[in-house]
Amino acid sequence: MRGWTGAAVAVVMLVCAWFVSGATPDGERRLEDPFIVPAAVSTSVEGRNLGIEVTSLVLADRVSTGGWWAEGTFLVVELDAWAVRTESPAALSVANLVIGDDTYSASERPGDYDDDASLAGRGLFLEHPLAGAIVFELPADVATAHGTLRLALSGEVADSVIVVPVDFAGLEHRAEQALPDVAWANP
Amino acid sequence: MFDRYPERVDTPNGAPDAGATGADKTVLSGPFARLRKASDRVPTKWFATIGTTLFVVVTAAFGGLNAVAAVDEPVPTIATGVVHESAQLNITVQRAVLIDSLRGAGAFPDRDKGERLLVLLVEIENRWHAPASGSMFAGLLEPTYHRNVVIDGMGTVADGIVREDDQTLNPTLQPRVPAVLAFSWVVPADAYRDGQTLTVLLKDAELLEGQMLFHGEYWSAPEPAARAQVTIEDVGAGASQ
Repeated sequence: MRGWTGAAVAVVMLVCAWFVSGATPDGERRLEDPFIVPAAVSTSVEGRNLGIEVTSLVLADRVSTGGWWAEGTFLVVELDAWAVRTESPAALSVANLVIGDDTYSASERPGDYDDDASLAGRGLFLEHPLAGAIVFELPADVATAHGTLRLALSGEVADSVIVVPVDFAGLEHRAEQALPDVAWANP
Repeated sequence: MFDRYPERVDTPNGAPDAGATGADKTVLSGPFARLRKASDRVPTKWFATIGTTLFVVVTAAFGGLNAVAAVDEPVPTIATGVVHESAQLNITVQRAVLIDSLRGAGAFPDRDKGERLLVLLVEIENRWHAPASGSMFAGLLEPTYHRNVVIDGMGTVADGIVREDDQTLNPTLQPRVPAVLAFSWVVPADAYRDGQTLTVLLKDAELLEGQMLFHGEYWSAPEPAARAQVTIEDVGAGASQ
């Protein structure tokens, strides 16, 4: 008789679990959802351990730093970035631009030539924001699109993601943009 | 009554005698009683035979143990400068150069061992909606392109992959932003010669959907999809390159 009671309880629990998983949207995937922190240009925002202030967005046909240059279509994002709670770990590892279904990652090319030319992947510090640039290499037809800039520490899994809308039609379009060196924002 | 499974007394012809059957009826009850009674009547030795027969029949039904004949899909041959299109990448082989050494190529021939560099200039456009990594250390499910261009007959991944314009090593290819890359292999000096037709094997990956242990889409290991032919130019020490 005790065996039957155990089996009945097990069945009841399975049915309950079925209802719970049915009521959970998208099941386990939502466990990984990022915490979105909306931001805008010239607005300072903070997530769990990432503070960002985007200072300017510029479209450029040519970007350069030191002896390096590249031609194409580039979005140059100038920003200040800092850590909020801890410096270890704190690095701006995720810098993506999402346009429609396409995801573009921050170009490694300027940073490959000169580490100081790119803030992407750089370690961040408490209280002392770093100022620098992140560059995205894009297709030429992007100039009329809308996109979102997504900045995070180490992946978009269950952590703050700072999201900045980018309206390409409203951006200043320059023929050439020199990239600033990474430096302290308030020396 | 402790004896739930009373010992059956089998008659010499294998059938249980009437008395034992009567005892079973009183002791066993519940939904599995009939099944248990039925299986009790099957001699244990038969199970091995039944199992083996089932295995053989099922195997035969699926075509037996012979290897499935590999389907040889003909791989088309294309000329230099022709775009090879696939769902993940558009690949165009532009030029093949034999050179003593090339600074920034990411591959280092040892002149004392008689080694030279075979450099392939290839334009690749990433058609997928996420960046494609050039790194050999890319994650298992990360889209990559470094295995999609190999020399036919050699098969190894290039020793160095750099952008042709600024020599960025293993560059990431952004969606719909084509780039000319230099794939370099260290080769013995006498393996290739000027004017020889080189066959480049271009491979396509297949988009797969995560099934059980993970979700999302990823690209499979690339398989041969086209052979591009290109004439090798020997530029000697590389002054003209």
